[in-house]
Amino acid sequence: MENKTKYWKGLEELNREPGFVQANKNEFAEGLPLDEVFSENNMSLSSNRRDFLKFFGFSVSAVALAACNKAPVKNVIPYVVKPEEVNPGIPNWYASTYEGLPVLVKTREGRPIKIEGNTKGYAGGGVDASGQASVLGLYDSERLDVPTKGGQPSNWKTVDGEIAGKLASIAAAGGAIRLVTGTVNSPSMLAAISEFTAKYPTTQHVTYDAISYSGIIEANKMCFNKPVVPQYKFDQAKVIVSFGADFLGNWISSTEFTYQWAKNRRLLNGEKEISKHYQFESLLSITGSKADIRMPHKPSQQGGVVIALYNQIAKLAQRDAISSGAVELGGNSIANAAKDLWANRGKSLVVCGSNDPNVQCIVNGINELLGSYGTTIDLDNYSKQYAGTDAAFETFVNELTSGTAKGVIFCGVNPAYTYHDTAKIENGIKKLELSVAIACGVDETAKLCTYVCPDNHYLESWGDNEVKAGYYTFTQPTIDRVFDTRQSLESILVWAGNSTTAYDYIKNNWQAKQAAGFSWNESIQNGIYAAPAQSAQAYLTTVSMSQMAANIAKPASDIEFIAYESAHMRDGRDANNPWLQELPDAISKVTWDNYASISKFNADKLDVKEGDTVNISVGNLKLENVPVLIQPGQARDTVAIALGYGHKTGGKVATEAGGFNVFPARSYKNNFINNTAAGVKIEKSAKSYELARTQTHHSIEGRDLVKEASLSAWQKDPSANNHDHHQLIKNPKKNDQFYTLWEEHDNRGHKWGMAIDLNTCTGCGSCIVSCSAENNVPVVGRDEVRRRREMHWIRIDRYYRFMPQTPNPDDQQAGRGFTKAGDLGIGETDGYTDEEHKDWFDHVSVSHQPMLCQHCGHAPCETVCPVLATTHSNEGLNQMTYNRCIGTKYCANNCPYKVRRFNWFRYNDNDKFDYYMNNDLGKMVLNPDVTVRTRGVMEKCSFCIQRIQYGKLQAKLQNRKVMDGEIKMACQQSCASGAIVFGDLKDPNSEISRLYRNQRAYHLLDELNTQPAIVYMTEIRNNDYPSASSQQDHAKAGHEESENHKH
Amino acid sequence: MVKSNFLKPLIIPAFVGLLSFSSVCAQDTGAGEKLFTENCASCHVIEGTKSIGPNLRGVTKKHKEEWLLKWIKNSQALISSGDATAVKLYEDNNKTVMSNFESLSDGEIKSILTYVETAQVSTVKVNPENPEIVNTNELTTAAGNSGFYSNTTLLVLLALVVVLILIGILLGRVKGMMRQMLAARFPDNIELNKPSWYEGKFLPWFKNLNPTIATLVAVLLVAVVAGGAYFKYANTEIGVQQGYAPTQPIAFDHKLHAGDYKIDCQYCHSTASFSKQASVPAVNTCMNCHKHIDAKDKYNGEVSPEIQKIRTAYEKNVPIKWIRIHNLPDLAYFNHAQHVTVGKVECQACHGPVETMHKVEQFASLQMGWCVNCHRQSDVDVANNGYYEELHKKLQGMGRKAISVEKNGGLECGKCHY
Repeated sequence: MENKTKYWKGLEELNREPGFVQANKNEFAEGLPLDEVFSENNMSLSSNRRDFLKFFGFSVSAVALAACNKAPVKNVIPYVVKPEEVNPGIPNWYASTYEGLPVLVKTREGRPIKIEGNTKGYAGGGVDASGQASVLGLYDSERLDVPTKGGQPSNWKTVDGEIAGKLASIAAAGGAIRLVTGTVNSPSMLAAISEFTAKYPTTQHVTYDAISYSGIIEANKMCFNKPVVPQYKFDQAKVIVSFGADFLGNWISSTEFTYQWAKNRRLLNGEKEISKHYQFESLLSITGSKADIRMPHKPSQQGGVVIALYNQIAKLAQRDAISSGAVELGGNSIANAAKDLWANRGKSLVVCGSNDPNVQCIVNGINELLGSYGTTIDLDNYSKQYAGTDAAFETFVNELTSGTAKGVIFCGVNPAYTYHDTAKIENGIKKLELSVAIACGVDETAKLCTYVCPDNHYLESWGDNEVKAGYYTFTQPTIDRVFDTRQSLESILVWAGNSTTAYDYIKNNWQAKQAAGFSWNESIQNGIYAAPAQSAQAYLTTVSMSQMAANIAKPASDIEFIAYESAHMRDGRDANNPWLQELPDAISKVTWDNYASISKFNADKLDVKEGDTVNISVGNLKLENVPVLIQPGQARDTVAIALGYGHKTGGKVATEAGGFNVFPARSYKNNFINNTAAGVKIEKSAKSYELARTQTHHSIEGRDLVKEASLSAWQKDPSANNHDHHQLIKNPKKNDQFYTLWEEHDNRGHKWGMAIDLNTCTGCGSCIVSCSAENNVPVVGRDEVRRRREMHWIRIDRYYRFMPQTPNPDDQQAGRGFTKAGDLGIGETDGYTDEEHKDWFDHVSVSHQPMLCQHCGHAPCETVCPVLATTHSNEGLNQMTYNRCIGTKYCANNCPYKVRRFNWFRYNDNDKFDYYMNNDLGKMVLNPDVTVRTRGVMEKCSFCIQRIQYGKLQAKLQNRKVMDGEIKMACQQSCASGAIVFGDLKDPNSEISRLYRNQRAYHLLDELNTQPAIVYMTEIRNNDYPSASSQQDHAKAGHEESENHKH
Repeated sequence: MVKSNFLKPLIIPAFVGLLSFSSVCAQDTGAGEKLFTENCASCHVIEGTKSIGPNLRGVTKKHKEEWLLKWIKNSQALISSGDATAVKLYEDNNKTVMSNFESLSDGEIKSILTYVETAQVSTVKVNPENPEIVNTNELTTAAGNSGFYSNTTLLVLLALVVVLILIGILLGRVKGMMRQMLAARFPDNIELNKPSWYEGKFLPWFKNLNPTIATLVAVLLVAVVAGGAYFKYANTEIGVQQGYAPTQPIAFDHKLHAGDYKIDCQYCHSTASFSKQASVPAVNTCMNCHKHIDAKDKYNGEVSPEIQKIRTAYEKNVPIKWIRIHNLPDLAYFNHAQHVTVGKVECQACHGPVETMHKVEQFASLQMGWCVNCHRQSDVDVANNGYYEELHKKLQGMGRKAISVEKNGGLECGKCHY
């Protein structure tokens, strides 16, 4: 055995809990749901003989009735005047912008149906899960359709007249008018706001980011007199140290950062090095899961840990250390991080997720010592994505509560939900003479306001954004307004007395600007206009680090609470989006719920296990019966709950998801909002609750699926930890040694294949939403997920592995960088509470493995289908024919990868699944090229066969071969880190063929001789002590290796 | 009533049996017709307005059968061999190349020829005052309209057969009872007392049957018959709408536009060459011509009411709700561009001689068997498309010129179902 490392998906698997073992013995979690199926048709199983006769009679008469019916008359209704560019059956693509990220919108017959990344954009063509799901927001039937006054439907004329009148009278009386928005980086919107301000001079524009970066903005103001969020360049960094900044999850511009970070993690294009990434954090974040070295600590220790790193760097830089407050972590990790950072001065980057400007100042100090400014941090072409400060909003809240503010317009913000003291907002709004909300739906704030003016969805709007200084993105509408809405820009303009349309206003604005090299049409077409960037300067600070350190609060000793931003629920703005609710969290794999995440240590202390609930009190906030989730890797004495849940209003899905709103657990002190709180009381409650959690569904029975090696081992041997598994790819003839039931397929034209790089997959889940959007995958809801009936065609398996931070000398010598502890896994850890192993659950290493149909050459599913509903194509695809399937589920049972999904219900037009497929508006998002499956058939990943067919047809129509990279899978297109590659294995020069030849490539379970079409690339972690990159001799060794292993 | 109790169980099987019997018969006689519809009808009609190729009425009298067999299988070979008849025919028809039908057996071709000779053809008359189409012959048409199955005809026939059988059975029973009565009156008459076939042969044989096997055989027979009938019935219920010709909101005449005025199909159905859908033209496409053309001369100086409908739609900006004739189920994916541009399939191959139809009807069954049949018989044009470059080389290496769509994966489920 080459790899003894054991991986596990959850505690129940690790401990072989009886329930888990039992559940996995069965093919399905429970018996056949005949009751439910019948109740769907208003029938019941508990029927007697008479009922049988009734059913029988009904069926006969139904058949007779059906016989009288002629097929329904279907209409085909062409345009009166067909727009030249719209052709039925041909998608049109438009460049647009989702929250500052350049995207392309696919429209069919005038309906936007899919969001894809714009490869010309700064994030290289990736889109995050929220961006993918945003198209569904357009077809939300609960969007506000007309302006309302006092909750009653009104019309624009009335509402505009009254608002403008009141604004004028307030301004005339000298009363304060406040316009509260999120960060506005649209030059045109800013211009509109200044027109508004000019008309009503008592107006002030308040920028409110519910989750703000005021710590960073304030720190940069103090250190460099630049109150901005800088632009970080993770692709320029060889060593990255992150203090709780989840830059691969949702920190500032995570899609862009993922794209940048992945560039240095690939090891597929002849590189010999990867970046080294240290993560010091309290929760196990997506970023932490990808870190090479990760150390958990309590949130209140963060300042101390930053000071400790500063001191280490200062020592190396021969500067003064900070005298007190440093907190050291185990495993010598801070010293090692300092060593690596210092060795890569100018090519290193330290980031911090804290909202405390004092901590951020020390981080700035570290970056300054490392020479990061001008190299990995750019303060000149700074980010404009977040500009709100907590202090500015706090001033506004005071005005609101004191009654100074007379008229307030809330535009795209929901402080009645996101502010920590919602009572203040509620009472404040009641005192106002004029309260207006510009919102898409009736959220908590809109509900309190007198006037609610429905805003356009971004896919119905014109817009421009300056996401970074000098870098502009453009939004163009891809559909006419679905409801009687008006985009916020126009609303502001109308009230300012300007009746220009948004299009004219933005266009005139830009033409007045006369920007160098700007062309309106070109910029709209590309979605991007970038002015020449300024050169990034180095910056020096004169701020006293010791002074800053003194301001940092001392570490708390009791249990601490963290209100964190989960990767796709963020501040709760997308809570009504069922795609995002059903998307499993990247780490916990929980859908539809939020929960109290605690460490194993505290769970043992509280005597709770998963399925139990706890009562938590944080300050004034009392939360009862919060489900517990035991999170390996989480710091001890912390309890964390995600923000964005617990909506009281805002739509069916948002309220169905429910959960707990933990914004009130945050606090405002010293000009910044603190997401953490000390003095938490937590106790076990009597109730139990089952989380809808996918982590141990589709168990692979502990088989060997993840392969990883350390960087040094890989440098010595490019097939490190992959010797046996590379054999089949290298030498397909080896198949002869296996007894096989299958005839070899003759792949005449193409042989499609996919490569997934475990190194760069962050588990973010964007591919899952992209797949659901492309392939009409239904949303099944919480209850069905609990029954293990989620329908996602692609899932991301997340594996834990114990990885204590003290390296084992034997392993180090063997170049493995792992310790023996990692060898212990499933069923072998009963003794983890022993003193010796007590910290095992604090230190886990995480691997993400996207799992989809492997399109096996020798597919076990194909041989067991009694009706030949699943067959093999001569292009290497495992095809699923729904109209042939009779639902025996033999295939799912026989699939070693557990990637087949059965339709237990009809998920469209079914009130039990009242999500988007249950109303005509929601159905507009469906991809017309893909069948909507019905009850009783099996489905699975088709390798986006509609995209393959489309790509092939385009080639045929243009009389040429299919170009490599031309056909992209939905999952691949969406992936910001480029972890997924698809192509034709018949073409020896294709990217996929090159990856197949890479020595990191391996098939899953190829000992079964299933001959999958997907290869995975072993995960390489840069976790050697000390860093491989700081050892000179490795480069030489690596060079020799590459000579030996050339094909 | 003893009698009715006796009859009851007989009625349903008899009915069902007849139903399936009639469909079996129809299929037998329809073999030639089926082949004709699938292979020939896209270019030929038997009588009436000439389609792409010449009309076929009397073709067996004009040419010998061997010659016809050669011509149909490979006309170009016959022409290049210098056969005078073939060359003349070729030139008479503007050198339009006829497709080769090497896949058809001699027997199949003969059955087509027989059909061509025997088929009755509907004659279409246009009432000059009302341009509604009057079809004088409901029962048979060369264009593949399965008029035989016209629901009313079938039902009347069936009812008739059932009534006849019932009368037969009744008469049999009456005869038996009369006999019994006669026998009772004349007990000495040997002729009368001789057991009838029913009593003397059938009943003893019936009583000696193994009850289990007999029941099984009976059940099986009923199942086969009922199953066959149900299949036939279900087929029509799942949307097989061959011959469907709804009345459209505007009596657009394809014969006039595509046939007489020879407007190219793709002038109106403009996306067929590059899109999944052929698309019904927008009103502005109609208006390209009908801005000027109003057929006033035919309507006493008034604008034609049908053309007026288009103009009204255009002026009032109200789209026209055409009735869709060709409906594929959601589970089947079909792409026009693949067939029209890449496969170079004539529109008529699937839509029939639209240029002869006043009112368009669904020409093909659009059933999977129909699709698959064509995929079996057609070759991929590997030589003239860069996409097939590798495949072409490979085939040349193997000494082959062509590969059928089937052999190139054209019958795989995933080609149309996803």
